[in-house]
Amino acid sequence: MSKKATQNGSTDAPIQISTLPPVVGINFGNSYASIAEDLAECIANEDGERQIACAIAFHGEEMYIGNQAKQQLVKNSQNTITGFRNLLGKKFSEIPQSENTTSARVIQHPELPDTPAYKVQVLQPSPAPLNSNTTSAYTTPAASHAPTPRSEPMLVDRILTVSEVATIFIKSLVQSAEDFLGKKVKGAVISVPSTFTDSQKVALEKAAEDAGVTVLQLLDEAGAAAATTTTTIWSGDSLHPDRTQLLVDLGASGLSLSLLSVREGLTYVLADSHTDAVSTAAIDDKLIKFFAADFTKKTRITLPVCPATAPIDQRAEAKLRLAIEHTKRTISASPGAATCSVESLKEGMDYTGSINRMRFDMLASPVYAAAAKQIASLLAQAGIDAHDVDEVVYVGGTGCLPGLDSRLCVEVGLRDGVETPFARGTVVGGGVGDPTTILARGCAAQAALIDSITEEDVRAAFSRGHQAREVRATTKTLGLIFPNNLPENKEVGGTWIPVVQKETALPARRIVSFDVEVTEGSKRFVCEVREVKEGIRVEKVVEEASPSDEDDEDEEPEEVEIKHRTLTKETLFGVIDTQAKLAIQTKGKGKDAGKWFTRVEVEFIVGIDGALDVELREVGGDGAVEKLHVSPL
Amino acid sequence: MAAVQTLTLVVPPTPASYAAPAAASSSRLAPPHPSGHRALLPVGPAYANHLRLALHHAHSFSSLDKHLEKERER
Ligand SMILES: Nc1ncnc2c1ncn2[C@@H]1O[C@H](COP(=O)(O)OP(=O)(O)OP(=O)(O)O)[C@@H](O)[C@H]1O
Ligand SMILES: [Mg+2]
Repeated sequence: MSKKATQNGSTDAPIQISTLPPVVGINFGNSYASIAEDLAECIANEDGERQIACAIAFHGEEMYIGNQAKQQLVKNSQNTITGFRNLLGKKFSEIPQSENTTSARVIQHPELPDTPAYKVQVLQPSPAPLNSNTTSAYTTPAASHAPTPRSEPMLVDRILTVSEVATIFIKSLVQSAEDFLGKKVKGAVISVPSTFTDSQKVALEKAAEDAGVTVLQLLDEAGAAAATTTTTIWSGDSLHPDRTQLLVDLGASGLSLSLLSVREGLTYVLADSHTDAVSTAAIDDKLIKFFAADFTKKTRITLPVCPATAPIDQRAEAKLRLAIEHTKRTISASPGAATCSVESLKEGMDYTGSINRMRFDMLASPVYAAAAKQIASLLAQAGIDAHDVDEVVYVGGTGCLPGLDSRLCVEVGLRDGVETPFARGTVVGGGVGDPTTILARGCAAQAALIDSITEEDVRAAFSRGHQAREVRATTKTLGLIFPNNLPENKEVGGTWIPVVQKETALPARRIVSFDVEVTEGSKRFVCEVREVKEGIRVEKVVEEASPSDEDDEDEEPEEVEIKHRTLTKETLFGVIDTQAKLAIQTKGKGKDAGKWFTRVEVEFIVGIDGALDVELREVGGDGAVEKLHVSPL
Repeated sequence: MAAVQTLTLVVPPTPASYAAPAAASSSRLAPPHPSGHRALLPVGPAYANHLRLALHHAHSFSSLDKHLEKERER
């Protein structure tokens, strides 16, 4: 973002349809932020950026915000502030002091007790003369009667608290959105990482309010992601509304994982974890070392980096660190090689190098492996088999890397055909699956939702400090078994139709609809209402050596594990035994010709007290209707 | 009304030989996770409706349906 706000460079302003003041969603990361007004996409700032670096730099009289500010890390690092989001709401004494800082150092505020701050040097315009119309000879050394000329600006220290920095940054984000929307923003939902403490949330809300933003909700990143992934824009027709979803956020400051139970838009966390030990910083270091070594090979100029000790090397490392942002984005976006170019990297020598995906993934491999290990232990902690994860969702820039996705799918042991935005092809080109926009878009949808709520008490439940909504949830899957002797249904003796999945919050209602075949004579159909136990059976299969492996003949035939889902009948609650009134005979010559079918709709309601009500209806007027009630617990 | 999930499945006819087992009248659902074990993410229209169910409709779906229907008509 440049100092002066102009209209968006690359995006046309939308045609104004609504005259209502808009609400927006803000993803406020530690490295990057983004802002959106709807579920479709993020708003670009006047530099055309949708991922806006969380950086503020002071240079002379100018203040830069965003990616332009980040550029200042090379030559003006002591006046460039980064990493402030994570420090919000912390005391100075709580922040570990690192001696090797590549940006403005965090200092103790000169006046406020135990408060972190930054000291930057700025050029301050010197005060204008008291009265510019004065003609007094006393205040004017010059012999003329002209007003005193303004003197040169002075270099002064400016102290900014972390909170003030956040306010400046949020203000500029919202300003960009307002410039784009052509309207004043009324309120915002802002994402917060799972690691934020209550005092950090208080501090963030205050920083936003100080920026003139009404905070509608501070939404956990997992919630912000769910706000996007529980919409039809996300799921299309292919995703089941009830599914177990794994959120993977491999960020610059750590790895956050959440395993979610998504149930027709109602979502809760089954298990989650966060570690600082796995992060993209390690990938960046590897990549920088790779290019530095390549530079040395090409120029015979040594370049020790990560860590660099000499100032000249530190500066070169800073340049590479900026340059690889582009390299990584290219690696994600296209299968070809990605370049890294730096002007005057060291001793006046320019550098251009490249890396392909395979090499990149080799460098990133330890980080991918560490992420897979974290996921495995999260699943173990939750008692959920990798095979039972239905969907993986990536959050944050690193989630754009296809190498990460393919590695995790294999190494975690996710089942073939697990849903991922890569499998659906929605990552590239800023598609709906784009991990860099998910949080802001979800926050935007949530802002619109809260804005639309009219009941005071419902709306209040979204404000900070409001208790999380604790719920009772089912522990076994409820459904129907239609008896038959088909070999594939041997396990439970019939066709199993799950209706209310385990891990569904109460009260719950589900309606399923499907066709039932009946015999011409009796028109009878029967179903058992049951709970089942779901499990996984592991089959060990010795894989035949494939013909292409012929050259390595000594290789042992490999034993692979194949997982099968199992079902065991448990409690029977009742049997619906009835006759179709609306069955229709299929005409024509097809395979179903002459057979009788009817369409039924079955509704399950599980009450807050654990009571169950089942109603089966034939679809159409005056069809069969059957009811079943199970008493509360 | 809740969304109806349409399944692309056809259930084969019930065999004439099928004899229905008797369900014990004492059968109850498996005990749910106790409250406090699971906390909803405060997000999305389904959550707003969950709040409405709890705050205004004594957890009754039919009461919420009527309310939402009225809202739509306004
Ligand atoms: N398209 C991309 N492909 C690969 N990496 C990317 C892409 N976009 C951004 N990144 C990288 O993702 C990392 C962090 O971005 P992310 O969106 O997770 O920010 P963040 O949430 O603010 O991070 P954190 O809060 O964890 O520091 C950075 O290292 C960035 O270089
Ligand atoms: Mg992040």
